[in-house]
Amino acid sequence: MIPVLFGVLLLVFSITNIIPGDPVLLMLDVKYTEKEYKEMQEYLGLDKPLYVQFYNHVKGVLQGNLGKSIRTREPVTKKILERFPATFVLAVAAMVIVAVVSIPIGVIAALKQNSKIDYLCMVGAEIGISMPIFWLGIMVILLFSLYLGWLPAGGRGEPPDLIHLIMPAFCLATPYMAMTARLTRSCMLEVLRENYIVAARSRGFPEWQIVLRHALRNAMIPVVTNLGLQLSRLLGGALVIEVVFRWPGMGALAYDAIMERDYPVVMGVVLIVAVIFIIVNLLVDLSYTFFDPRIRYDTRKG
Amino acid sequence: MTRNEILEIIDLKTYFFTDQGVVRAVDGVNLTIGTGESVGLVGESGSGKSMTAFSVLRLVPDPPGKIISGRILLKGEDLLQLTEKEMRSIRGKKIAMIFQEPSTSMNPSFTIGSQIEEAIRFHQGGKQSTVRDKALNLLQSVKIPDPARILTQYPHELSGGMLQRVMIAIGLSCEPDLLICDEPTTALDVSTQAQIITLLNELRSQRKTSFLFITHDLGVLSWICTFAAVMYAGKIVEYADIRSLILKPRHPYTRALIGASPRLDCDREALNSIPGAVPDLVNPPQGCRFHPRCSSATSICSNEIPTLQEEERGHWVACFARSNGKEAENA
Amino acid sequence: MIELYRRFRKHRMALVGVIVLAVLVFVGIFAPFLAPKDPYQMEFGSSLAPLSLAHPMGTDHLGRDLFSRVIYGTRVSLLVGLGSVLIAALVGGLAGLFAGYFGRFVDIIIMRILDVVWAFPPALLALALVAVWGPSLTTVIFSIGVVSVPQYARIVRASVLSVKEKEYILAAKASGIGPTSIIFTHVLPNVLAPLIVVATLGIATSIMIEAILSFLGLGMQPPASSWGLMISEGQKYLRTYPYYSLFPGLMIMITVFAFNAFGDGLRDAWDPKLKT
Repeated sequence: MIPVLFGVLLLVFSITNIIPGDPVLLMLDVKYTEKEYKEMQEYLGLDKPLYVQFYNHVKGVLQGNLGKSIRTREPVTKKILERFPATFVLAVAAMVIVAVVSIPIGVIAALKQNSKIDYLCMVGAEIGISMPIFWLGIMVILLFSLYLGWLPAGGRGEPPDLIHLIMPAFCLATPYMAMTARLTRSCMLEVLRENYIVAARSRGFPEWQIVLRHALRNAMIPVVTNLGLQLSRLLGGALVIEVVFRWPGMGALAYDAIMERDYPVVMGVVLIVAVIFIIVNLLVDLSYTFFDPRIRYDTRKG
Repeated sequence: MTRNEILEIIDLKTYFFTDQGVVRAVDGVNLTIGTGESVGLVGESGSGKSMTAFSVLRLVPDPPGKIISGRILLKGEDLLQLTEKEMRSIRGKKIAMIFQEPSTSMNPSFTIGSQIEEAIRFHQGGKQSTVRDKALNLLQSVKIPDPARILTQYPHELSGGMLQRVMIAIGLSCEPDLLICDEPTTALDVSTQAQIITLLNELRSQRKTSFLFITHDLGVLSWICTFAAVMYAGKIVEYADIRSLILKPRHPYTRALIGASPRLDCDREALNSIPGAVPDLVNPPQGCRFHPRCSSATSICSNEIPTLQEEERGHWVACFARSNGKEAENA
Repeated sequence: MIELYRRFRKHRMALVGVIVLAVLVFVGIFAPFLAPKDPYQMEFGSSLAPLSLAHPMGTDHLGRDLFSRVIYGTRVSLLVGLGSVLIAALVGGLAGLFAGYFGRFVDIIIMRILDVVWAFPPALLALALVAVWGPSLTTVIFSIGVVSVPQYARIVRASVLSVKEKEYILAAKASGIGPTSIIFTHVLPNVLAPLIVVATLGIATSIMIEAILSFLGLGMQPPASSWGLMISEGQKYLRTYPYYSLFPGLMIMITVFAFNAFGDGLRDAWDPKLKT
């Protein structure tokens, strides 16, 4: 994990340096003197050789310093922290929707394999994956806000409320719902073919007990761990949804920053998202030992 | 009823409807098991023996399989007429089953204890402490050392032999009338096989449970069964008490099976294998299904299907060759 | 008979996908002949016009025929999809091949680099890359390509690993055949099937990412006919003229669906183990 983190920092640093335009000039007024240029350069630490800059960069990051916004001079870290809760709430809400809706659908589709319901679910899932979520967002706003007037067209609400959360969370959840339903279905099908399911049936247990207790427990292992991975991807993918719904989260921050050429902010968000992904991946790997007793045993044995 | 019959299978037909055609896995099987008896079902893979067992408990995978016709009488009651709900009170309670691969027959995510207790609690109910005590007793009755520790372990932590004992324990937990054993020793090494069979024999004499024992191994068969039926291509071709079957086999297939078994007591250069291939169950041979591979086959064998006839007292054979007095190569 | 019908039903989606794909490719290639009007031609008099035979999908705010623009949009999507996947498959495929075949140090280094790339959400990283390089058709294709490399490397590496230890490889080695030969004659054929499946599904993802980039203003630039761009432009007129955003979005959905369905069908046919 450490080398990957290092690589991520390196990549972000490299991108920041490839960005066209002189960052020193961006910070100065239109009329400037040589002296002012040199002072600003020193201030930004850009007069030092690249590897020293990189070292400072890493040191800064480890101390929580992600640079300063070009536009507002505020620390990037502060701005990200301000916006993080909104994105987090959105992502968690989407995850909840995914879990609550698609897992039962996947189970039912598996139980009724090859029936009309199964077929409908699978086609529905295929459509769900294929839908561009920003377009879905726009269409949904069209229907529920502009035509029906049931839901607000954007923003988070002042103070933040649930009504504003519904549409963005649902749109964000759509492709992941589709993926999870398919995964649940195929995991269930695989588990239901196992010998221990037949053995459990031979003991006379009713089908619901077989499905809910014996089959589900094993089928859920890959599904739940997959959900964990999706959560970290969601944090990045939420950008488009935040733009469409004017949701004040990290993604919207990054987008505005891109438009304003405020690169420190952009890179700060990108870095954070990557780091979160790596950490979540690690947690998911560790969680395997909790879910699957066989792996627990192996790690114990060493 | 001549002897006390626990199970009577009458003209059972179980077919599988696949893309390649209809597989007649069990094609008119008749079998009777009495109280305390151990009846074996022996044959090659694909002979239909496992599916016969699955049919008794109505565990045939549907689709693509289906029990087409026949009757299965458990103490006179036709199991094929019961509702699914009624059938569930039979499974695990009146008829139990143990399977071939013990390591995959237990749920890997639950402890041994929780799975045994689940079975006990489901059929017998009771407080947790009573259930746990019963579980411990069961484990002791199958000679598992340190049962208290085993209860807390997971299936992957136990050896095949131990797991099979646990399965036997669960199977016998409700004192069923019949225990179906589907090749329970095939996946075990020889010494463990011996232990399991000894255990099964002991339990049978203690509890007077009947066994339906499925195997392809004649050695195991002769050790545990009192009667045995030989199956070929979905039909029973010979049935007798175990001594007569092994020492005086009358069906050419049975003879060939015995001939193909390695023996320690005589010198032989090569094992006799049965020529030809396992029959296609979608398009079985005309007439007697074994005739293409049979050295005693005559013209009638390819035209008519032989039925089981009682040759001697208690010894049934389905073969035309016998009535001509033709004795083919002896084993 | 029932079984046959059931199996066909499951693959009906893949069949539909193939047909739709064929139509799309046809439209993409013959766009100039199929589009009734020039997609860049502005007719200020008929901006946001009601649907009619002359303008089956309406017009945009500059009076350009949306139907023609949508047709030309097919070209953009297919070009970006195919281009980026080709780059990613080539680079990723070679990387995975070397990582899998040579193993050890080479493997570790290559996989670590790919892990770094994979740590970023693809769309976000592509966005950053395009922002750096300046948005255009080529930078879009390259950015999406770069971002997609890890999955191809992974799948190829996995195939190589599974084939490497097989006996016929050891036999070939024993008879003195060099690594390049072994790679191309023995390993490659086994790698192709999963690679093609991932590539087909990857085209779908690439088209989606291009749409997102264009929608956000960092993909194809006006006056190009990109579906994502059109959806973005149509936002302003949503309430009164939803067609502007509606039709391009439908096209994206249909196209991505077709590639996904086809890719799924291929996967089911060749190797169900790839199901995620």
